[in-house]
Amino acid sequence: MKHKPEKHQFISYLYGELSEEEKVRFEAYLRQDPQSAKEVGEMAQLLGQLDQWPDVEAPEPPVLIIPPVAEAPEVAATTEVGAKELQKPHWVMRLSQGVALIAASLALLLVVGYLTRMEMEYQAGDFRLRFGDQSSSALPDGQQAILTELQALRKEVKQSGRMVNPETVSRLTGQEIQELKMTLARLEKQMESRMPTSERVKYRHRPVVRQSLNEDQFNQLVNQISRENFRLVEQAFEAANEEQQAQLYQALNQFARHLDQIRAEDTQMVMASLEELDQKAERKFQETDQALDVLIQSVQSQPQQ
Amino acid sequence: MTEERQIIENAMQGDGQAFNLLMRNWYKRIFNFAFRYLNQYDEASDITQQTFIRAYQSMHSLKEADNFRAWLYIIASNLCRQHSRRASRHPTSGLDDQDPGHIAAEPHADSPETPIFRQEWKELLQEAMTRLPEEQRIVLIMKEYEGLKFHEIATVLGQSENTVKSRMYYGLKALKKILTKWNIDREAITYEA
Repeated sequence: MKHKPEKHQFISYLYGELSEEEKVRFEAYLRQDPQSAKEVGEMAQLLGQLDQWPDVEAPEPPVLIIPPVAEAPEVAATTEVGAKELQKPHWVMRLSQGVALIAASLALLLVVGYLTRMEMEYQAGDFRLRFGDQSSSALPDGQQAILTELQALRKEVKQSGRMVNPETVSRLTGQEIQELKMTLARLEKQMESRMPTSERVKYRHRPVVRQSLNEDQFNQLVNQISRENFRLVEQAFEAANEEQQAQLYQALNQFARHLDQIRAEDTQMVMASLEELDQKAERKFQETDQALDVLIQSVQSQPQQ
Repeated sequence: MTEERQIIENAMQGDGQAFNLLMRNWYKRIFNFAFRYLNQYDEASDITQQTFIRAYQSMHSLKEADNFRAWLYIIASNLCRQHSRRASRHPTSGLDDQDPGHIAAEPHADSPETPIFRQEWKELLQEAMTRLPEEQRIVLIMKEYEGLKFHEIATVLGQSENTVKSRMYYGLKALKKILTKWNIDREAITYEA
C-alpha cells in the first residue's frame, strides 16, 4: 500500500523543508502517483511565476512629531505614566512654546490696539471693546449735564407712569425747552452713532414719548396706550377663551367618541354572547331531540309485556 | 547585536527618532503587503498609516525585539482583515463583482498561444489573488512577497505551521484553478524581453 503524504508535506517538499528520509519517501510516492507529480510540477511552476508581480511604489511615510531622544528615557524610567505618555505622538506643544505663543498674541493685541485706538471698558458685568477715535464722540461738559438732566426727566416720566412732574416742567422756559429739544436731537444722533447696529434699530423703533408733549397731550397719549393695552388684553383673553373652548370641545368630542366606541364594543360583546347562547340552546335542543328519538325507538323496540 | 535590533530596542524604550527610522525602513513592505491583500492603493495607504500609529501606541507591549517583524505583520494583517470584512458588509461598487474574465478572456480565450506580457500577467495575478479565500491569500502574500518563514506566519496568524502550509497548498491550487479558468496556461505565458 503506497504512502500518501499530507497536504502540508507537498509545500514542505516544494520549499525544501523535508528531511532527507522524508524527501526520499515523498519522491517515491510521486513516482507511483503521476497525478500528484503533475500537481507538484504545476505548483512549482506557479511559484516561479509569482515573482512577476513586483512591488509598487509606496507613498512617503508620514513624519511623526516626537520629543527629542534625550528627554524620553528619563521620563520613561521614572513613572509608568511617563512611559505611556511617550507612546503617544506628541501633537501637543510644550509649555515653553505655549507661553511664547500667548506672549506673542498679547504683544500683537497691544500693537493692534494701539494702531486702532482700542478702548476696553468693563462696567456692571458689561464688557465693551471700542476702536477708533473716542474723543470726537465724547460729549462736552455742558451737553453732558443736559443729557443727565434729560435722562433724569425721562426716568421720572417713566416712573410716574401717567404724568410729568409739574414742578420739573415749570422750571423750564420756552427757550430752554426749544434748546433742549435741539440738544436732545443732536445727542440722540450721537448716541445712535455709538450704538451697535442691532441696538440702533431697536432704539429707532422704540415707543417714544416726545419731550415736546404738554401735560394734556401726554395724558391723552397715556390714555390711548391704556385703551390700546386694554383692547390687547381683552383680545388675548378672548383668544385664550376661544382656545380653551376649542380644547374643551375637542376633549368632549374625544370623550364622546370613546364612549361610543365602548358602547359599540359592549354591544358587540353582548350580541356575541347572545348568539353563542342561542347556538348552545339550539345544540342542547338538538341533543335532547336526538336523545328523545333514541328513547322512543328503544321503547318501541322493546317487546310488550 | 544587529543595527536593526538596536533600533527596535531603542524604539521600545520610547526613542521616537528610532521609531521614525523603523517606520522609514518598514513602510514600503507594509504598504505592499496591504496593497497585495486589498488590491486598492488608497486603502492600502490608510492601512499602512494606521499600522504604524498602532505600532507606536503599543510599542511598549512588544516583549522581544526579535519578534518585531511578526508583530508588525500581526497589526497590519488584523487591520487588513478588519477592512476586508467591513468592505464585504458594505460593497461600494458592483464592478467588484464582475468576472475578471473580461480582462483576459477576450484576447486569450480564442488563442491561448497569444503571449501574455508582463504587465498583463501582473494584473491577472493581482485580480486572481483577490479571488482567493482570505486565509489562503494572506499566507501566499506573506510567504512569497514578504519572505516570512512558515513559523513566523504561524505566529502572525496564531495557527500551527502545518495548518499554514496546508493553506499555502490549497491557495496555490485555487490560484492555478482560477488562472486555468481564464485560459492562462503555461504555454501562453511568455514575457517581454
